[in-house]
Amino acid sequence: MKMQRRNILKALGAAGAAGLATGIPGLSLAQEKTLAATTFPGAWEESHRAILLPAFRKATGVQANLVASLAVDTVAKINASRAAPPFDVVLLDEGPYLATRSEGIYEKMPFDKIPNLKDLPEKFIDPTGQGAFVSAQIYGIAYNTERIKTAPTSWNDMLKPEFKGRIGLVSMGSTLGSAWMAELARINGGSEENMEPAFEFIKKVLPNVGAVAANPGVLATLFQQGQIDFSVHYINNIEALRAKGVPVALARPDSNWGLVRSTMHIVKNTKSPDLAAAYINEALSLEVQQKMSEAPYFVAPTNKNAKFTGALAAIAKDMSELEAFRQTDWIKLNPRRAEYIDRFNREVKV
Amino acid sequence: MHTRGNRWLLMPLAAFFVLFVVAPLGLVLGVSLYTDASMGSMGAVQYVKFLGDPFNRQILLETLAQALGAVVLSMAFGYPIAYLYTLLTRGWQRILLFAILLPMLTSSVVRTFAWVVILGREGLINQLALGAGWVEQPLKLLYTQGAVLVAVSQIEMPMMILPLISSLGAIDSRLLDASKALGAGRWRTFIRVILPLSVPGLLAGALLVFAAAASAFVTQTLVGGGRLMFMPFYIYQQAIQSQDYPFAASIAMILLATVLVVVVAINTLGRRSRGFVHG
Repeated sequence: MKMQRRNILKALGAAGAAGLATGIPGLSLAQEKTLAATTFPGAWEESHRAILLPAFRKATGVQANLVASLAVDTVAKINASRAAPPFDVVLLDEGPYLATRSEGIYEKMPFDKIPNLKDLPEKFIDPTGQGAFVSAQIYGIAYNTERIKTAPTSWNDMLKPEFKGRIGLVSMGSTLGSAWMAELARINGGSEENMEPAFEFIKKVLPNVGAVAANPGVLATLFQQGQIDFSVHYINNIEALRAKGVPVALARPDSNWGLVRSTMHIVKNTKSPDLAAAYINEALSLEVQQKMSEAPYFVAPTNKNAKFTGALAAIAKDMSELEAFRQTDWIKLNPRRAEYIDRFNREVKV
Repeated sequence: MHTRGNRWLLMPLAAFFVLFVVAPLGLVLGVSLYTDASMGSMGAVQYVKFLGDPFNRQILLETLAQALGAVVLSMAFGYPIAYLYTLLTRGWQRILLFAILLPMLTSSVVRTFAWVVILGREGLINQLALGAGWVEQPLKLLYTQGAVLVAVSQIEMPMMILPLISSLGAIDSRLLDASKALGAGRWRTFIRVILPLSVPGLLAGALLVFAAAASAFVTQTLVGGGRLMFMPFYIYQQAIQSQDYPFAASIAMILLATVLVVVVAINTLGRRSRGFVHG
């Protein structure tokens, strides 16, 4: 059945290509008419709808269907339907991607169809060729500027008694939670493979904790509702809140800013591999990345020609500074993530 | 001949049931019998792991307690509303029914967020309490067991009221007259006649609310926050975030089994009380 459909589509495509031969890249393969892509909820979805989708449409004439889905959910959905994946191209965090890199669910990128890859620093291209880093998230100390007059300077400030009931945590199950816990472990003498110091920190900070959020989106609403005044958070969630008039800001921890990178992949068995490649090409383009890095989204670029402006320029002046931010060794963390999630459950449960 | 025709008409339903309920459940059961996340060998290890750990048993008990609490609360608030409905004229009945159904027209996510806004630190209740000078510090209402209980009860309330309305509406009004004529007062009539006769409705409502409340993923997660843990989120976390499908499947099977036990218990209780009414 599936073979038949594919053959018919192929025949139709060949006929179309022969008849049309328009010369517009992407349109030459007329059988690829739809593209389903994933993005993350929040700033990513908004910026992808506002910037990436129109750029992709201009390049291919196709209106992509965008679905907001967290990386772990996306991976689960692809795994549940490998033969007929629900998405053609997906946006993932480094952690969930590396955890599934060897499962054969991503296509090797056709480098000739993604010319913008040449503008990417080499280490932003996956060594297996199964994906590329399209953007990065900066995280730091998020705090309520009305209730906390002097910006906290260290994660250890969370332990101060004046913040009783005002600290927010984010679950270990989220990428932000995992990355931050690994950072806490590192600055307290541990590592991705020894998270004990991080859990010790959680134990100590717990009397000050007002709420534990399941994911970064919920963490942002906690600031909005005045439920918490101080937590770890991403720059774009905080800038989005600020744009809505919520008195919040992001401060640099003395241990430096944290960085979480996001990757884009062509899904294996996609019916639209060329459109998926074109989509990644647009996501890497200077125009798209430049716009996404500006207000109100502040999604950090990976294209080496992009200029850092506005709130982003206040944090890093260029790519080399960005690369020096605190990053997580997901290869080491991933195998033990389930164990850490379980431990986190037990530490925070009332 | 007649019954046989009927049986054939049931075939599509039976096929649907087998295909979309029995088969997926069998699949979940199968997955739950793998010994580890890599799904290499089989065994009942996951069940031993779950039930042998007091942390997990606590999550199970809290989930069941939350669901039973929601049944009690929705009965306490739902019964008067359903009873009021039977006393009204047609026109007012329509208005009340619309009011009862209104929450069901919005998604449970929206209703849950309404509760987050009401119960939050700067929410409606705290604003009122602070404004009136009843409290000096905002109360911690959100992210508590009580908050989950109240929100789930309100959200599932129509499931209790609707069967109750149909059950109360079916009571023969001559029975009430007879009770009065035999000298029973209003309360006595309610306790001895109306309440027992509405047991089928209470029972149906209890089953619906219990099953829905035990699996109220969105409300439990958003109103309960990250420091409370209920079975549905536990399943999601273990399957999606920890990628441990066998353990997640075993949690799902255990939740299903315990919910079934409670459902059967409620059913038996109901049958007994019905026997009491008619006997």
